[in-house]
Amino acid sequence: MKQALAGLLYVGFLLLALRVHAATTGAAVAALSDSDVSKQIALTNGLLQRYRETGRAEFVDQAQAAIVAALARAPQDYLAQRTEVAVLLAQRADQAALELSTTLNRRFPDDVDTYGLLIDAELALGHYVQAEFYTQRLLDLRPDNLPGLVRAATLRELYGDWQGAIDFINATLNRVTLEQVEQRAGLYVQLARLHFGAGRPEIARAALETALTALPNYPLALEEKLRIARLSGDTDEALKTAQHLYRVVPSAPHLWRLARATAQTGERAAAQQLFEEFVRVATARRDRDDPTNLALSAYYLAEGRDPKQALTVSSAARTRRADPPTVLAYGLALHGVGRDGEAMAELQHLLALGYRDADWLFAGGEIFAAGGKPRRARELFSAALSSAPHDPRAAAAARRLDALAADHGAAAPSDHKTNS
Amino acid sequence: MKYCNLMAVCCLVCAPFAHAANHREAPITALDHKADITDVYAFRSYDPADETPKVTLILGVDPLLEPGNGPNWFPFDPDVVYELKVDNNNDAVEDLGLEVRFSTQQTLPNLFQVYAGVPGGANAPANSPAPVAPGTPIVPDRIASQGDAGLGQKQTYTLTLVRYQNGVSKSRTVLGTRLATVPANVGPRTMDYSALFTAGIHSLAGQVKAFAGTTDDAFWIDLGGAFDTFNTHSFPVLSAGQDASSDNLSSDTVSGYAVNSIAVEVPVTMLTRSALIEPATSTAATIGVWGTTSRPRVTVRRSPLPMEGAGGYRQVQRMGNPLINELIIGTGFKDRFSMDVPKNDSQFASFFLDPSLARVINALTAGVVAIPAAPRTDLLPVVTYAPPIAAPGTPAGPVADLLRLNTGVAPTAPAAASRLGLLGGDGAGFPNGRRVYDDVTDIALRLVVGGVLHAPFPGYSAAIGGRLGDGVNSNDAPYRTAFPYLADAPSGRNRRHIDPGEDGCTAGTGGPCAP
Repeated sequence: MKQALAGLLYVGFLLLALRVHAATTGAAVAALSDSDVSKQIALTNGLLQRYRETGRAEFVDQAQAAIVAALARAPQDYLAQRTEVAVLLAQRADQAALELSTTLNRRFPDDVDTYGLLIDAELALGHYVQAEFYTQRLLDLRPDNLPGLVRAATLRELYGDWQGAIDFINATLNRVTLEQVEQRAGLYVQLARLHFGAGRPEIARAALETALTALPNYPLALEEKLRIARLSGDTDEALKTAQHLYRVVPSAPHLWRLARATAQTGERAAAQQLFEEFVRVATARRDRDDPTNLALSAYYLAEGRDPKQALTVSSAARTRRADPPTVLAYGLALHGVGRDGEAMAELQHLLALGYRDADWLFAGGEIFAAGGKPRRARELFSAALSSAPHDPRAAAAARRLDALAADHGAAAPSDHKTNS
Repeated sequence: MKYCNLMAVCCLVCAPFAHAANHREAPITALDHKADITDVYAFRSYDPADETPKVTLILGVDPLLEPGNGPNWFPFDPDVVYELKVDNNNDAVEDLGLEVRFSTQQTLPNLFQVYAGVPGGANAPANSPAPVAPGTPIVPDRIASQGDAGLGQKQTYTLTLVRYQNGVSKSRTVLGTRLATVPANVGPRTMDYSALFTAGIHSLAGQVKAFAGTTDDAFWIDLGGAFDTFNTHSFPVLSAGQDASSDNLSSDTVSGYAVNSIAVEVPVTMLTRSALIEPATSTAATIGVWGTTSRPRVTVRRSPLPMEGAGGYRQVQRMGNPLINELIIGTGFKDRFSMDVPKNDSQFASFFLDPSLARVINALTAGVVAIPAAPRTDLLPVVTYAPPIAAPGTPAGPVADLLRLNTGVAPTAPAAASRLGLLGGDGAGFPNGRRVYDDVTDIALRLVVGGVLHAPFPGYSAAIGGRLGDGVNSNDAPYRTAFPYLADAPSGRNRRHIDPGEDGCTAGTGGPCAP
């Protein structure tokens, strides 16, 4: 009886497996693109490339139109669908990207590029366990493959393994040709962030210069240059870079960055004007799934002094994704309204993995201190001060660290040098 | 217009599609020949001198080695862990493994090739320009043993028996260490290859024998015809006479090529779960065998203590039955198949049980070769533990690519054996294990179109589907009749690749190919 039941189950399983197979077999035979579809796919990829080079969002809209045209002609075309995932990611439609890339991965499990896109979607949604699983599989499947090395570097960065991530990026750079200018520039930007995190700001700046020599208006490089200048307390450089960035890509988040950099130089009136303009633009876009909302949330928390609005804006973004900037914005907003327990929980996941981004460390120190976790707060403040001792927040962080140490009978006050 | 996530699409580096290639069946092994498994054999040893029932396991790697391809020839890769694995409790998980790791020593760093020799050696002549004085040894003596000076590239290996529990290594026993490897057959002036071959057969404790080295590629096939979308050089349905003959109607594409082989012979009692010689009717008699190659792994997470070991190994390839990954698994799944473990093969069950190869043959013959309806449960004996290989009552286990061998079936003497193995009435041959002389191409073709393992289906014709073949019925080189049962590697100087239509297709008899 038992055996018969097992047999029935077994045959059922086989039939199920067969149905799944039958659903994909047709595509396997007529799998690849005809020439017109191939051209549309090439156009889409070219437009995405231009988007990465320029940061101009209209290229994504055009890429979407191109891939829609390709898919209208060949709805099941594998390469077209894979390119659609890249477009979805560019549009921040991460859940849809995850679903489609998962389907494509089942259809063609040896394709390293689909794995890369699948991992991007998992990372955007904060699914770090799954992202690591697929990245490891990708590295096992094809050692030293580019999509795998890049994602592995990203994961190592998330885990706070700066040097390990640098190793992977260096390995990747060795495999990208000199003609792949944007790809190389992007890798140099990542390298800059990693070296800065590892306490080597000069190498970081050199890496950024390399990227900007290759692509002088490369938005990613300018964003990172601004970030490093800000964390280094170099307000003049930060302002100059923010102005450059806004000139190149006059988007709302860049306007907010410009306003903030202006404020840091003490130009309060000019900064106020920029913030007002930012609020006007950002409010008009508030209902969209847009990174502008993260900037708006930050504005409400600081200059706007309206943490409830910050929470409203950031929680909407948080429902859609869980990348570090979104999580941090939401965590800070929770902290702003006094929901520190939830704020700690929000940040703890990535912090526990080892994430050591300076913005996270400063924010984490504040949140954990407010949440009644002084030991953890001390750890985070201490790490923040090591990571970015010249950041404008450093002085306050050092004072908080000293206060926490005194409150809890720690041996000695902070010995961190800051620019206070 | 949305503002978009720049980082998400940053560094998207798209590679072109990779497709599988002939003997290098998966894309990854097309790029990594040293880890590319060509064949796995497992059979009851048929050396009449053997008194104890034994099983010989052979793993072939590094395909289509051109014997004359110096100056480095074909060392095994010391970075690769080669392993023959055995499941003896029907769960498709390894219970024991025979692991082989190589090390290499170069002893002629100033010579331009790694092997050199002439009978008696050669010294600098009287007119040798300075600073080399006349009489100075220049070329070593012909190589006849591992200690000879001309063997400038020496490889040795360690053979380890690994016992597993639920697939996790529980104990390791070194069966042999510093075992000499047989080099490539460079040519008759340089070396006495046969002497080296014989010296490369190591008798170890516990009646274990081991061999590793460059040998003849024991596989034979009309490879070019098969992969020209099944455009074999001879008509793919053999006559009764052709089917019964060992003459080749087509040339063996693999003829004249070498391969690197690892062979281990162990007592049956080392393999069965009961540690006994089980009768063929016992549910404990049948084992599953597969080979793996693995390389050190790069891990996302670095070990906090690198000195204590890094990330272990990643499996590059595995193989149980012949031609599964080559002819059954879809191109987009081959690497995934290679890196996974057999117990997970249910994910590929659709390929096993509705093989596209069968449909291709059906289509290319306009339906003359009929095939059964899917699911192809008639193929279950190849991918599960089932009769006629395993004894009735043996737990089927999961669908898994294992070479299943009923260790209770006595070996057939070579003179009485059928190249068609089980299909030819010879119960000791493929798909009950696999011997070097089993014509797995013809057997696999007949299995895949159905009607041979189970009761014939409507439309089946024993004279059509039951006689499919590529026209290559035997190997180009004579096999040994004792361990390791493999033929000598072709000589680098005198090797011969037999071309289509060329005379002398069949080794031994030298019969012509069909025009």
